[in-house]
This record gives sequence, C-alpha cells and structure tokens, in this order.
Amino acid sequence: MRNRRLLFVAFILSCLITLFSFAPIELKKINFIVPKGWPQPAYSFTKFPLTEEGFQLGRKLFYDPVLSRDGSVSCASCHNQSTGFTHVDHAHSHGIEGRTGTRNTPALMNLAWNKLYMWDGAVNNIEVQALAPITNPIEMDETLEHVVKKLNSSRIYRHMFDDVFGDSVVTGQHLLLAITQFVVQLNSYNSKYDKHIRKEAGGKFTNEEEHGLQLFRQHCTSCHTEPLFTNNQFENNGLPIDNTIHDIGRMKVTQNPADSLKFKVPTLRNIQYSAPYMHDGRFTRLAQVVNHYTGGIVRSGNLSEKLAKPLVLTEDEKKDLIAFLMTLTDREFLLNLRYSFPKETK
Amino acid sequence: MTTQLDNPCQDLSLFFYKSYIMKRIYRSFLLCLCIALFSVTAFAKGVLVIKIQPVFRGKTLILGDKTYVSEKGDPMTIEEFKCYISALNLTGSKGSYLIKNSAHLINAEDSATLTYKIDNIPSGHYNGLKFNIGLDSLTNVSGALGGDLDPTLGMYWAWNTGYINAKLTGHSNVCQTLHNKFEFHIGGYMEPYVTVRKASLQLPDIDINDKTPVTLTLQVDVATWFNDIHLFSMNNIVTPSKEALRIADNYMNMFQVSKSDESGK
Ligand code: HEC
Ligand code: HEC
Repeated sequence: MRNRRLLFVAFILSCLITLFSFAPIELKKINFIVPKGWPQPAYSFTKFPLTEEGFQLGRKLFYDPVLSRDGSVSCASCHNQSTGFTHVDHAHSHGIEGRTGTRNTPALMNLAWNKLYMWDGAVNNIEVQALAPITNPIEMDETLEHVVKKLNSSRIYRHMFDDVFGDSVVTGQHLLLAITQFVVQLNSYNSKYDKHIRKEAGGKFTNEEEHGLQLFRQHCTSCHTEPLFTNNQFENNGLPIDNTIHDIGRMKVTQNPADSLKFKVPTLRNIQYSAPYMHDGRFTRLAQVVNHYTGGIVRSGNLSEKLAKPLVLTEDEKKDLIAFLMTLTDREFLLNLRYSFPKETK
Repeated sequence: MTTQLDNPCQDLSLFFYKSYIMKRIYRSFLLCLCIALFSVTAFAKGVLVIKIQPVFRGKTLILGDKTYVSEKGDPMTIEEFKCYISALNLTGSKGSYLIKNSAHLINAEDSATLTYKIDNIPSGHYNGLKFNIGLDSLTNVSGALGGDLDPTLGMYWAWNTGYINAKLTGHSNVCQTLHNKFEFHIGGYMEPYVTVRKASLQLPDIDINDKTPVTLTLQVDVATWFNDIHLFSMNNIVTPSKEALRIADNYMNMFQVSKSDESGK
C-alpha cells in the first residue's frame, strides 16, 4: 500500500517536473535607472523589457567581429570603452579592410534619452541603428541576412537567443533587440559634475571649475543642455564647410535646405577622452574647440541664432571653461567592467 | 490476484478520491463544452483566404526571361517584385472590421507569400476591402519588428531608417546603366515624401462564416508602375523623393479583386 502511495506521489512529482521543464526559464529583470533630476528616457522599455541575459547577449554581439563580412571588425573596433565608446585618434572611422568613412565616431552613452541617431539623425530608433554599421560597405560590409545565418550556425548563440527570446532560431529582429539591450545601458551619470550637483563626496568644485560652470551655463547650455549636455536638436554651430567631403548634415535626410550644415548636438560627457571632436573630427584639443566658439565661427545664413552674439572670453576664462568640461569625465563609466569585453565564456 | 489488504480503508479512500477527481474532470469538461458552444453561437468567426496573383497587364507575371513592353513602348524583363500591404479593413453590413497586425509582404518569387490567410473574422456579409499599399509612419518609427516586418527581408533601408514599401527591379535595353538595370525602391514616410497609398476595393458580396473559408483573388498588376514614364530617363529610384511619389501614385491602382470560384483556374 505504502508503495502505491509512493508511486502516486512520484507520478505527481514527475508530472510537475516535466511541466516546469517546458515552462520558459525566468529571466533576471533589470530596472532601468533614471538618475534623480533627469527627464524620462525617450526610448520605451515596454516592448522588450531589459534582462540580464539580454544585456549579456548584446554585450557578446557588440564585441564579436562575426557581425562583419570577413570577421575583422566588431562594434568595439570603432567604439572603444576607454574613450567613451568612440574611435581613439581617428577623425574618420576605419572599417573593414581599412576603408575609411567620412564621419567621426560619436561617443556612445545615455542613448535611451536620444530620439534620433547619427550626426544627421538618419536613424529614427536605437533598435535599428546597428543595421547601419553592419551593412555599410566601409564599416562592416555585411548583410543582416548573412549575419543571422552565421549566428544560426553557432550553437552557443542559438542557446543564448533561446534563453533570451524563447526562440532558438535567430531572427533579424532578435539580433537587433539584443544589441539594443546592451547599448541603451551604457549610461554615464557619475562624473564629478554629477556628484557636485548631487552634493555628494568627491563633487567639490575648485574655483576654476565653478567659474567654468557659470561660463558654460551662460554660453553653451542652450544647445548642450544639462543634464544630458545635448538638447537633442540639429544645429549649425558655425564650422566652416569641409570642401573635400562636403557633408551637408541633416539636409541629407530631410532634403530641406533649411537643414543644410546642421548636425546633431553631441553630448559633452566624457569629452576629455572622446577626441577628435566634431562630426568630421577636425579638432583634436578642447582648446581648439573653445577657440572655434570665440573666434572661428562662420556666419552663414544657417548659423544657429543661439550663436548670433559673438563670444568673447579671456585666456583665463577659456581655461576655466575647459576645467569645467573635464569634470564631465566619469571614470566609473569608462572603467566599468560590466561594459567591457566579455571574458567569461558562457 | 490475491492481495493482502493490510488496510482495506486505504483502498476505499483511494477509490473515493479517484471518483472525486473524475467528477471534477467531468464537470469542468461540461463547463468547457458550454463555453465553447456559447462562443460559437455568439461570436462565430470565419476565415478569409486571399490569393495574390502578380500579373503584367492581366497575364500572370513571369520573372526573369519574359520580355514585356511598357505603355510607353519600353521593352523590359522583371527580376524582382515585392510589396507590403497592411492595415486590412473589411467593410460590410455590420460596419467595418480592422484586421490587427495585418502587414503582409508579397514577394512574387516566393509562392508562400502569395496566399494570405486571415482567421477569426467576425461572421457576416462584407462588400469592401481597404488596405494600405506600404506601411504607415508609426510602423516606420517602431524600431526592430518581426515576422513579415523583419529587417532581414530586404525591405528596410539601413542608411536612412524606414521601410521600402514596394520594390520592382529589372532590365531594359533603354536604360544606360550597369547591366541595363532599372531599380525602383519606393519608400519614405516623412513629409513631403510620404509614399504609403490607400487601396479601396469593391468586393463581390462575400459571406464569412464558421463553416467554409472564403477565397478572394487579388490581382496585382505591375504594368501600372510604368504608366507615363520613360525608363530611359527614370530608372533608378532608391530614396524618398519626388520620383518615388510619382511611382507610388502610378501603382496606387494596381490591385483588383475577384471572388475565386472553387472550380477556378
Ligand atoms: C567602422 C567604424 C564603426 C563600426 C564598426 C561601428 N560604428 Fe557605430 N558609428 C560609427 C560612426 C562613424 C558613427 C556616426 C555615423 C554617422 O553619423 O553617420 C556611428 C554611430 C553609432 C551610433 C549612434 C550614436 C549617436 O549618438 O547618434 C550608435 C548607437 C552606434 N554607432 C553603435 C554601433 C554598433 C552597435 C555597432 C556594431 C553593430 C557599431 N556602431 C559599429 C562608426 C562605427
Ligand atoms: C548653437 C548650438 C551650440 C552652442 C551654443 C554650442 N554648441 Fe558645441 N556643438 C554644437 C553642435 C551642433 C556640435 C557638433 C557640430 C558638428 O560636429 O558639426 C557641437 C560640438 C561641440 C563639441 C565637440 C563634441 C564632440 O563630441 O565632437 C564641443 C567640445 C562643444 N561643442 C563645446 C561647446 C562649448 C564649450 C560651447 C559654449 C562655448 C558650445 N559648444 C556651444 C552646438 C552648439
């Protein structure tokens, strides 16, 4: 009798076990942190909530040259963590077979607060941004179809995609959503400036930095708006046009002459490390940038009216302004091991 | 079998337990049956099958070698024809019924895409079919989508995000291009170059019910693309532009619908 009862219990147990083994595994949810005083991000996390597994899959993809045609270039080849995910020392990014592009690699951070991506805003959603480098002949020169095929022939990737999406067949959509999970979490909000604003330890400004902040708020915040240091708009900041590349900026997308020579206002966070500067990387030092704003502005018809009034700064004021820009460096971000090359193999 | 019943009560209790379970199962079965019957009578649903037939001036389109002649007299062969339809809406006696998430990619080369089955349509009489040729602007800004909207299907622009609503490529010896190729990738969702178009078709009266699926034939005539254009001067449209608008206006009327009779060809 006892046996029968045991059998019954065993039967129920085995039923439960089979049931659970079919149920999808529970993924570890990640709460997206909106720092105090910041606006809500523009990107909506409801479509595909952030998970640890999704983040790790995206991270692996970001560092994997499998995304390029000949397996030589990964996202990280151009977007290097230690410089705020930009291309060190390269005015124009080098891609596959050393081919060079026409634009400077922007730093990647706080992307969930952006609405449009690229210097001209040609990409309207972060989820589809990766399509551009993957298929660009001078960057990774691949097709999405073929990348998906390569990933489907990898057992490890099929496993990881299955865990994250409940589907072991890799699709274009899932590939893009996974990369998105990684890039939208590259968030920088622990610079000296942030600690200063939050009145935390390590946030005490020197007199120079404090004065620099005042100058910045007087002359720069209309475009480089705190706390993201961008107003997410396209502006002409008076750079003389480059006659070799002839990049018309936003107009390429809208075909509206009023948008000629307008470029996305870039964030200035971690600016100390993300040289060279501007869409074509024409400046290598912050002093050159400041000198541009004080003496190099070309007053064309499209110049932003925010720069209509000429800016005059003394040498000391320039130094203070730059001292302030240095407080935007966030070492916790630049050295965060969570964002670095995934060493552990899964 | 001789069994030693060391405790007969236990077997008895097991018996009652079992019959209790049986009763529960039986009852829930009855309940399910009732719900099923109720829902069948109250919300009967039917199936509509749309057979898509790419044609050139009424004759089945053959990709590759067959030479066609456009309205303006340009000879050509056609390599590729793809087109999105979306936001399908059936109108009838009881009002209209919008089919959710109904974006469908037609690919002349892939016969599986030429049959479009729609389930769960409220039963009733319908006499109109409306849909978008292409995709609305919301779809264009919604990031990475799946299924027929997956960006691997060759209908997505990477350099300037957005979908290609319709694609037609081929060769014509009047085109002074590499391999005499002409290429029309028609897309664009932002003013002033919005290329999505509406089709509104009169249906032969159809009766959607839960018994037999209804089959419609949707002919799509690619000859319309070339109305009033010369391939010599217009043969490469791959960005949102005035030319793209012109082609979209041309193909706005490429769809025609008829009811398939079962004996049908
Ligand atoms: C060959 C160098 C190169 C590679 C490889 C590369 N990028 Fe980029 N990335 C760039 C350049 C250059 C831009 C700016 C392009 C433009 O404005 O037209 C950019 C822009 C971006 C942006 C937009 C940033 C903004 O603020 O608008 C994101 C996000 C991004 N890349 C992510 C990625 C991801 C993810 C990958 C891998 C799939 C990748 N990149 C691969 C060079 C590269
Ligand atoms: C009219 C809006 C506007 C104002 C005001 C403005 N900027 Fe900019 N800034 C821009 C734009 C737009 C760019 C990118 C231009 C380009 O690449 O073509 C830019 C680029 C920069 C860059 C390079 C960033 C990078 O990652 O390449 C720095 C540094 C910078 N600005 C600092 C400043 C400082 C300091 C001030 C105040 C003195 C200032 N800006 C005022 C619009 C503005």
